[in-house]
Amino acid sequence: MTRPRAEGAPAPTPGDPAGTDGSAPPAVPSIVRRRSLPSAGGLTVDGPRPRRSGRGRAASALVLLSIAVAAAAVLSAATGAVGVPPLSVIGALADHLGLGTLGVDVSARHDAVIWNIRLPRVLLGLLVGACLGCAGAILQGLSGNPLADPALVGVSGGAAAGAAAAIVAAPALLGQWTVPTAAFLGGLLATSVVYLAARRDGRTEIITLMLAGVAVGAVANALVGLAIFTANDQELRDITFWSLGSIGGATWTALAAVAPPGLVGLVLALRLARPLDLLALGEREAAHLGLPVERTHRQAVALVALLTAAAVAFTGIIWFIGLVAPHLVRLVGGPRHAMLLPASALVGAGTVVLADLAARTIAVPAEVPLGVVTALVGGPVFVLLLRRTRNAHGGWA
Amino acid sequence: MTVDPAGDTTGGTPGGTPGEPVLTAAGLSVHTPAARLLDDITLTVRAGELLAIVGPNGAGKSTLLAALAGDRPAPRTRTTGEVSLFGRPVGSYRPGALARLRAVLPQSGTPRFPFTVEDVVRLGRAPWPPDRDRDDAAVGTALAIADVAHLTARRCTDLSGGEQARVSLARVLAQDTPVLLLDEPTAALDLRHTENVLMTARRMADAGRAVVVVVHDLNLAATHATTVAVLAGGRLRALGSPAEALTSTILTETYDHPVTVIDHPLRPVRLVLPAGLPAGQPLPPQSPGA
Repeated sequence: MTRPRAEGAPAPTPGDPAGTDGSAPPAVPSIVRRRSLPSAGGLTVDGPRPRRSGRGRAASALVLLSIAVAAAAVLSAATGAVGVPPLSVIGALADHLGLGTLGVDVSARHDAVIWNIRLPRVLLGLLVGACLGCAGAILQGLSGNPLADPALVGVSGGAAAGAAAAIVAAPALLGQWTVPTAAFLGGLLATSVVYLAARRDGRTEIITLMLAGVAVGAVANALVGLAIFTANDQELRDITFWSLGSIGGATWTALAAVAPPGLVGLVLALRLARPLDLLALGEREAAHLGLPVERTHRQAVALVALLTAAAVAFTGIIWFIGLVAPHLVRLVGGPRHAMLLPASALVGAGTVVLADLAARTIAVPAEVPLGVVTALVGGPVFVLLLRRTRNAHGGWA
Repeated sequence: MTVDPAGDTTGGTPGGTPGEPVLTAAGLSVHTPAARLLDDITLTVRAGELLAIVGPNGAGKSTLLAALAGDRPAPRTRTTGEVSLFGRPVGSYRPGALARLRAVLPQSGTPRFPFTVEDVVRLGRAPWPPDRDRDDAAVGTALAIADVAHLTARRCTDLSGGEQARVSLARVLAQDTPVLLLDEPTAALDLRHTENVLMTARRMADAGRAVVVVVHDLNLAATHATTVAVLAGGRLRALGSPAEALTSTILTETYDHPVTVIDHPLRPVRLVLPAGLPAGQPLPPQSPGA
């Protein structure tokens, strides 16, 4: 035998006539008894207990990732037209949380810059990035497709159509809330249409869902085009910049508006970890393991819509975060969603904060649109990821 | 023993009293607009029984297994008749409760992301409330029985077809249910693992579980099953012990090919052979449709 263990083949024992069938005893051939395969009666045999490998490691990886994201946030808050030492950033933050300045000397000017300008922007970036990264992970898990992006269920297109319509038709209806509200509602509406279009006989096929998403996305795109067609120059500028994404408009009020849906969505998303693991086995298999598949589809689509719509409402479309963040995490941490969902949120948060840092520092005093930065960096990175993943796994299987 | 299927979430129920009816189909028919997939199937699977479902391609074996599993009917099919599990319509169970009563091994399927073998087998514990010791024991035993314990850290997307099939089997065993439904579990397996799967199924049955297995190899049915159901064109052609159901007459007619049944030289079971032609006779010319 040239491959004794790889296929679990039994090593022939000297003296055992494994090959001479005629002399084997009746009833149970000796080769069967001799093998170490345990008896299966009532699963009462104690097999070797597998170690719960990787659970502790996953937890420490998440902690490390959180620290890295926090460091990126402090770095971003410290950098800008007015340079603030990173320690002062922490001091100012602690001061506002009622902990005193932790012995750091924070000037009133620095405090004002951090608290009024930088912090809302950094926090909104973190939240938006977390929502997009997490939504991407959910959608990729739901579709079993590592190329799925929240845009695929129509939510981004719907939000863009909502924002464009609001900019052109009634920009003053709700004051500064007009465009975000319209974008948020547009995203949810588009996803609802996609979901209902894909539903038949009380079930939704995910592939139909994705195709309906493409169709609704096309319609939304046409609506944006229609808005552009009727827009004056200023409105045209607004629509264009909205679709390129920016968190430059971040205020505490904007953060307060995005935080409730965003945070609720993120917390609820964690509960999808086990269902998404099960769905990865296939829908039939998941159902056999007790998963209410339709309910899971519904919850996942609703969460993707909520997270994405909340994320883009104030900031416009930010490409590639939802696509790349889960990829990156899967490459390093494996596909288990208990790890993938929070880690994708963290990676998304860190990426948006760093991309925003780049967006507002590479062309001072101008700001490059955030979506331009993420797409410019994200595109090539994504291609590299694709090639690495494909090489590592021998295909997409 | 009285089983309260829906309420029991403690696990470790190997099955019912031997002989107790566990899973029954009564007048079960499945139609599509164009064809009749199953036609008036009535059968009972008892605790302690290993039922092998055999039949030609397209006879309705997988359709029957899916109906017994309580799967949602495929679109555009109509199902009449009833399937009961532990005395209740299989459709009346909540998904979680059903998954604690019956495990299903479908024909194929690789996870869509590169999960490790251990992750996949652990998902078999999903229907049960988390219990570290019990979960570890069930997973460890399942890995060992399916002979994949040496693969635990491998990515299941990297495995051979036979190894993947054994990982799926381990997942199903880890589910630890009183009823097991296996759809062609041996399709990708070598001789030793094929025997291992069928012997595992038989031990499960002997321990009081009810096991239904779809196989193509009639000899596996003849040598391991306690009961054999022969399906042909969606109808139950024969149901009984291997000796009753696997006769030369029934099989020759069912498969439309001459079949001989002989005694096993070593064991008190029968062997099924395609009869072929008498010695010295030339093969007939191939007909266009054959």
